Amino acid sequence: MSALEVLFNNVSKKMADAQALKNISAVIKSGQINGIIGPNGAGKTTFIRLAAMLLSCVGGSISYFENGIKKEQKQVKADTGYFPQEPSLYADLSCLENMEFFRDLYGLTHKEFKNRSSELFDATDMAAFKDRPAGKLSGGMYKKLGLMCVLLNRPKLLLLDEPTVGVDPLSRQELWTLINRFAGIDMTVVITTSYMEEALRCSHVIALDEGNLIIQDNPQEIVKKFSLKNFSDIFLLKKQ
Amino acid sequence: MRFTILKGYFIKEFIQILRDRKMIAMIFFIPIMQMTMFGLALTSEVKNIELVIMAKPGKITRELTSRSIAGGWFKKITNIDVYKESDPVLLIQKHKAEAVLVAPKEGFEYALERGNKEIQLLVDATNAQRAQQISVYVKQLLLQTARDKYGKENFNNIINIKTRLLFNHYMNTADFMIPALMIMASFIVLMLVSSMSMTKEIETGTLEKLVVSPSYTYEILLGKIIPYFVIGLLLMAFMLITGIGGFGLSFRGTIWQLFVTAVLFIASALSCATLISTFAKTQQQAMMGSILLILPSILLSGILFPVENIPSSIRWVCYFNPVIYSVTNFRNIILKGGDYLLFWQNCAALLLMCVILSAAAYKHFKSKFS
Repeated sequence: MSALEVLFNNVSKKMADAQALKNISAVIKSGQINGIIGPNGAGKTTFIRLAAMLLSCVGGSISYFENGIKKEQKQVKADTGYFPQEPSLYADLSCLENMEFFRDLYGLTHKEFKNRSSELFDATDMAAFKDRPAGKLSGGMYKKLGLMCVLLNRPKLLLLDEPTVGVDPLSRQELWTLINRFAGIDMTVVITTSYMEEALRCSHVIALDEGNLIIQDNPQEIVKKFSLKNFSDIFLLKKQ
Repeated sequence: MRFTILKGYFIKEFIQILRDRKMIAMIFFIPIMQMTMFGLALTSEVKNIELVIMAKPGKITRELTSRSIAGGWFKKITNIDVYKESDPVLLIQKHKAEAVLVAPKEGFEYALERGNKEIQLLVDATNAQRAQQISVYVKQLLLQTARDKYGKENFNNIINIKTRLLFNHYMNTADFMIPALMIMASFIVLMLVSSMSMTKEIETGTLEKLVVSPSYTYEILLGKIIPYFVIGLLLMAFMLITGIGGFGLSFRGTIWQLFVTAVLFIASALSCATLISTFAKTQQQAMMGSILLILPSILLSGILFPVENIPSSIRWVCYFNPVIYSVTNFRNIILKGGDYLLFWQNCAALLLMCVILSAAAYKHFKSKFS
């Protein structure tokens, strides 16, 4: 088992009348935390939804590789975990019941579920809230539960659409700790964010602005290369 | 109460409605459709009665036949040779006639002149309302013919008509309505609840998670439908038991026939609800869409108004409705004992509708969400 790599080759996508992505060629690197960075309206969500196969591109192509071998979309689907902007859960179901629903969806055995769920509950400090309905959780806890449900399947490609938006700093830190814990040789993580400081937490960054690719590289390398004070300066620099 | 806030809501709601084409279509379509149906198609008058007159050839027999057709209430029956038919009950049992007027062997003339011979009228009473009216119409037809022939005014005391109501002897409305209610109530519940449940997934965004999950499209659909399928069966079983235990409904058919019909009907209703939910974006739209379909499906099913009364130019619409086949089968099974030919005919129609509806729902769901 190995993490997936995704290749965007000249991908374009139109949403309603707006050109959301314009000829994007980018690589989502295997086993790394890939950040899709950009201001609002940059095309981050379109990018991640294309990677999740929830949208299809009009121009270009998206390919998935495992250990350098190209995989079909059907094969990739079972290995992909998607966390939407609003981590939609069943509000009237308890945390455990939500997890159990996803257990059945992913076809996990009871033993696998027991091990993985207790690991996730411990890692998130959510064990005490197992029986609380999801609708009655705080914003941060709700997002953590959403992430737990996705992580239950141990996907080879984890796509997170702005998981840290609307979350207090402490919960944001906890979410990052959780992401860091699972990302690695078995799991590629793609995370979209408009918080520029979060770019430095990633090992590979794809910066988008108005549907265009600004730059893609290691964030520390980008900062060093352009002598940036803040990562967000890259957008100002490119506009000049 | 702050009127500025109320005004803001009022304007916002109106803008939303005016920008939603589906909502506008529903708002206007329902009154137009109902006006058309009630104004043109639906009438409580009993028409197109299939009456067979069994008597030896004679002037009165000819007069009765021609008058019945000329009056517009009765339908000419061409596929029966009355002189070869011997059992009037079988004619009704085989759906060849709704009512059979049987003269004494000496003929109508003998009975009308002397009054001591019995004229028998057999009526299919599975639809109690219709049976009552048929009985009155036939008696009127006979009295009018006798008055014109013999010139006497008071024939009421002379003519001896013995009416025999078949399959629902006591004209019990409960007997007639419970099989229909089993279909009607479950149809309303399943359509509303199932379509809204599916749309709730769309509205709250949970459907996206299901689509991205390893589940196939058919698994998502079945996973959503099966619980309501079971609810539908339980609902019908509950109504049947209540009907038998609480209202004295006499069940003459077999359970397997009822089960087969129920399975096909519930599958059709749920396919229909799924199809609606694939077009709706919100639960409100799904509810409106379901009501839009529930109303004509019930009104054009023969539950409340006889389908035979609907003009033939509009009547064909009724046959694209799974409710009509289910109600006919339920009444046939529960009240008549389940004539096999009629049972399989209705099952075949239901199966066809179920296949078409489920294929359409699957295709539209897949193209929209997968």
